Amino acid sequence: MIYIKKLHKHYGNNKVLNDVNLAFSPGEIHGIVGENGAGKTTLFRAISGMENFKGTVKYTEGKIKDSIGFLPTNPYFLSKITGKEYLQLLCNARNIKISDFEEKNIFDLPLSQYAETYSTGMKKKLALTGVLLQKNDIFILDEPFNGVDIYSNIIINQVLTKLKELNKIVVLSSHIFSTLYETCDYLHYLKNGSIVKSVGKPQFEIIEKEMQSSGVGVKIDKLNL
Amino acid sequence: MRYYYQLQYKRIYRIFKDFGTEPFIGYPLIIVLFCWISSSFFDKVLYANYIYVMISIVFAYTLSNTEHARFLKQHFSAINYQKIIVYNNLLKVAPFVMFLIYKMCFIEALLACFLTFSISFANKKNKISITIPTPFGKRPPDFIVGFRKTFWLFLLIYGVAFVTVYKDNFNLGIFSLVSVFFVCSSYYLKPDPKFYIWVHAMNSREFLKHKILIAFRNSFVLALPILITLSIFYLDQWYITLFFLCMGFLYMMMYLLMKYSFQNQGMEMFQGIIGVLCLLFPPIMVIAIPYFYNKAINNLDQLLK
Repeated sequence: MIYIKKLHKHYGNNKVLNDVNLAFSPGEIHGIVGENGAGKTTLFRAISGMENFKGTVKYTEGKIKDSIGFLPTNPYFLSKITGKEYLQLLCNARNIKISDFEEKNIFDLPLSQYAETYSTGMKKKLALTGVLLQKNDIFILDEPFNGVDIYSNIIINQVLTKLKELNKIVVLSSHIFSTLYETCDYLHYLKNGSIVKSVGKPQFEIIEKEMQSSGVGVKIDKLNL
Repeated sequence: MRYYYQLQYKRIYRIFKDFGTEPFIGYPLIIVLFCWISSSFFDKVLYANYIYVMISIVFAYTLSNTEHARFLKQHFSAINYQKIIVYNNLLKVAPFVMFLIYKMCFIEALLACFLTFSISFANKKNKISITIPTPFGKRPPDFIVGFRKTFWLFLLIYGVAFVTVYKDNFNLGIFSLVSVFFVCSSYYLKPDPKFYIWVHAMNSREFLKHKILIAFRNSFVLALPILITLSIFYLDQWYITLFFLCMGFLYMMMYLLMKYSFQNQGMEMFQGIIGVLCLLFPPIMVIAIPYFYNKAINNLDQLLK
């Protein structure tokens, strides 16, 4: 179980997260939604320990950092490193021994090629494969469906279902509501750094409508297109 | 184009500020250091004028960022793009040219300008699809990435080691040994992205120990052909070889610790200056290594709590 209490984060005078309180249980999939810049990625980085913050993030089963598999929105790959070497690095970092990476290559990626030459979707799939091989108990997935093809989307959905069965804690973000409807048990609406609403599956529609109504302030005319 | 150079000036100003140095102190300091290092180089190195020209060209070429060039190509007209590339390269090489003029090496200064002008029209490609094999696959990423970028240098270094025996010149052998560590140290110039540190299930001390051991093991593998050559042909001078081997390890360890001391502060140039200072006066490492170790631990503690 993860408890997040009174989490605050600011960069200078800019408040990014404001009094965030959440709880994630094993076997649950939580979705965090919000507009661009609402603070989703900062929240994920704070939970995983990549950002300093005020407040508490408590994991009841031990050291949270070493149990988290974190998938960033845009995974960064070092130049001149192959897909296989990236996976090896992630496994070494958690002391996981794998002899045959091809066998674990569920997305059929060209593992002997440099990862920097992969397409956006392939990079995402490689990064996801890496965190899955680490045998983590917690998965924080920042927009896992972004840039990924339909076939891979199905695989990711199946992976999420499997993680739920295995009693893992999964927290993800997405701007595609249909995927959230399919995968999540709970949705949390993050607005201007605060959680303004948390709902269970039957009430997902409320958040979707609220987001649609608040995001319509479009000012295209100002561009004089 | 004018605004582009105003922006470049602002970027340099901000780099100094980020480092915690007032630019009006930083600029003269860099100039003095550059003159001092160049002067020492000319005093101590044979054929320094030719090597200096080569260093200036390599400096201009390696400092040109492919992504940056691509960005310029996308947004500027073809003529302005080429102008900016030429100006940028000439600006990078300008301090070297000025020093060559000061040293009365007018032909070399002209040569540096001409070569810089010429390389401005060469397309720098960074995405080669051929995967270069390395013996370091089990322990990514530093040596894998570094070796793939510099493998051609090892052909030259091993060539020098061969000449050592052919010409019976032990000093050349030591030079090639030192060169291996010098090249390997360059693998630790760029800061790691936060994720690549955070992902390790280790504390800061364990992480540094793990990195140092890998650096020692892998650099030893690369130095091995030279060590074997020197052991066979110059066994009577084994203690000199051993001394330079240990110095090489220390030198590389210092670079590694510096990398994590300045994590995410983009201090490649500062690292370079300290690196050259330690080459000119190695006892500095006695102070530098413990200092950077403590600084690296403090820095890493933020990510590896």
